[in-house]
Amino acid sequence: MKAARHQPIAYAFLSPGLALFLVFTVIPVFAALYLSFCRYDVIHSPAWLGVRNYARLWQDITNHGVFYLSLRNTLQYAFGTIPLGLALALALALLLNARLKGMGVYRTTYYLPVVTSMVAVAMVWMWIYDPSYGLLNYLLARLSSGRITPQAWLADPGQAMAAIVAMSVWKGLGYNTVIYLAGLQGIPEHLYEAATIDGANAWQRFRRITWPLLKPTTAFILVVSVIGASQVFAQVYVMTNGGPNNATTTIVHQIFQNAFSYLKMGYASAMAFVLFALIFLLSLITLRLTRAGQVEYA
Amino acid sequence: MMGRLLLLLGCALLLGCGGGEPTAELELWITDFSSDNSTRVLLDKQLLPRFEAAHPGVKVNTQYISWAYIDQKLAISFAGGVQPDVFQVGAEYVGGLAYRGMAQPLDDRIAEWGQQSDFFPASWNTCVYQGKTYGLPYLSAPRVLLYRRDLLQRAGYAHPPDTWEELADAAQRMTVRDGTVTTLAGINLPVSWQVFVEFLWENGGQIFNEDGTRSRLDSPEAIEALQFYSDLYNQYQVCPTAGMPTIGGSIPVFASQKAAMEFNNQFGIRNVQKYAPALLPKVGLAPTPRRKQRVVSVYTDWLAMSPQSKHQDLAWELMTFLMEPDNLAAYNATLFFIPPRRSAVKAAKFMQETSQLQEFVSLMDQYGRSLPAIPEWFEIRTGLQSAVSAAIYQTKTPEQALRDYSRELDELLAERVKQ
Repeated sequence: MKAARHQPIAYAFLSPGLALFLVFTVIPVFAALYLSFCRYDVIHSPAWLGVRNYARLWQDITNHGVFYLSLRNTLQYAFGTIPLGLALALALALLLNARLKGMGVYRTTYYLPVVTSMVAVAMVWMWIYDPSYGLLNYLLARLSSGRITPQAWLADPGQAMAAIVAMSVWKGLGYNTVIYLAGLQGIPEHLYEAATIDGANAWQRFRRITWPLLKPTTAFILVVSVIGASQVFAQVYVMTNGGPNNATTTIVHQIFQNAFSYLKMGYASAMAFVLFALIFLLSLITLRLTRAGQVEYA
Repeated sequence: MMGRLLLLLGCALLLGCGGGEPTAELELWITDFSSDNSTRVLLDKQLLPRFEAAHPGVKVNTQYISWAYIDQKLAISFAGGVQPDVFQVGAEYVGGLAYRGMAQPLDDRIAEWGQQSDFFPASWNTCVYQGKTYGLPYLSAPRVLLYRRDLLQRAGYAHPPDTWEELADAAQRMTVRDGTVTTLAGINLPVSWQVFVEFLWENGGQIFNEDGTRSRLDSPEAIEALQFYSDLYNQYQVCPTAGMPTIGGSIPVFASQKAAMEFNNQFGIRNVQKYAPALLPKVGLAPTPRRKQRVVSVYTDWLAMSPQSKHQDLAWELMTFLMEPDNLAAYNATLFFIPPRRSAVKAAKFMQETSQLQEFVSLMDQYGRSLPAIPEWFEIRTGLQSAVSAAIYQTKTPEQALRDYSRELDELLAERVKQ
């Protein structure tokens, strides 16, 4: 009864946030859904097309067109960045979890790329990857005494996506590390003490205590990483603009191209809803997989 | 008493008008501007104050906009009803702007103005879509063959390569390799749809048919053109390889003396002037080698007027003011582009100072051709680039790459026809 009396006040306090959410999220989402069934060039009024935009997308996928390539590249990017990023972040978090002098400095250092602008980072890495005077080719040539010939990392269709993956893993490493670090610090110390007394070695302690108890953390990082990888855009736009030969174009890059370069807002909106479905599906699968076998020690 | 009141009211109105508030404001968007600020200084401190002084009460607000986001800015501004009165766009824009009603046809004004014949035809055609003219050319960049006279002579050529066969032969003779790395490329050609279009035109081919409804990229001429382009990279191996050593960092390949020839516009000359001035007398200019015909492709930026402009007469006056020979020459001087009208070329001191720039003008006038106008240019540009890349990087044969893209292009063009 008391709660019901307070409800209008609660809604009054919530209303500014809800209004913003409604105007800038809910309405645009429904508008985009409507536009995905239209032809719309932002200059003229939308013209209803029915499912033609979705049919074109399907046709593109079956003909291995540009949208198909963007889907394939996005998945390649996700499979490249997520396992590698996860493994490196866990390894780094284990190292940073040690009680060493000056650990704060190390933790800050690894987190710095996360707070640096993606565009700035992408520009720096473009210099690192430069075929003629980039740091990477220089180091490879020095280390191999000139046996490794200079590579056109971002201009070679076979290497460009790998180059973007490497840069993105480096950029996002600090974020995942901090999450893992929080997860590690939540594991009770007495579990390790008991295991040590029982004669468990470091690997066994990791295998039986750390990894199982980090499962919720891993699940969280996985879901966030899957969503993030599906939306990859800035580094692609800055470093390769989808090239060479569409080797790095991604779904969001295609949405951007179609919406703002070709003024095909309807077609781009249809792509956005396909992306939504993809993220939804991948997130569900990830959650289902990680929920299985969760462990709790008393 | 009444008379005094009216006088007082009149004075008050006059004072109100003379209070510094402009009676009309023009929005001008400039996309090509120099990195050293000289374009802004020229427009903001010299040209536009002169225009404003000649038009009391008129204020010109200028925005300098990067090419990186001009498309988005234009789309959003037109959608929001805050479009500029006059704006600068590039060589591929006229079809899209005209088709969407984002540029005003100017034929009547141009006829009254009577100065069209002073412009180079290839530059002018950039602003024409389906027989109507939608703007005035502001700067031009013709693409020609730049070559090193000394290296060519050493390779046994007394004249620049005139045909594709001579181009391939001369490039092979001049290429120098150290193992797998090319140390001197016979010809510097970027992997670009623009280079392909040059070969295509020289071979008598077209990108699409006259009315822009069907692709012509699956024609034998197109396939032969892409095959030749791909051969220069893969069979003759005369183009720069990744990791080719350059001098002093990011100096362009031709200016750093690591290529004997290149297809380029006047920036090829500027790079030499800047990085290797002693080399300038050794640099020759020729039209890009012919196959069935000789063509020099010309890329032109132009000024368009918004159909929604509330001050179209003033906007036109601003456009023609910027087109005055001295003003046009001064603007192009800040950017090192070729002024698109003859009287401006004569008025431009920088054009007289470098002999090669005069040759650019002559070649542009004789053989110049602009891109055909079509609303879908941006998509075609992207698709064509993919097809060219696929052939050069050998993920598809030139024939397969063009046949695949030609099918896509037909579908794209059919969409407009259906509307």
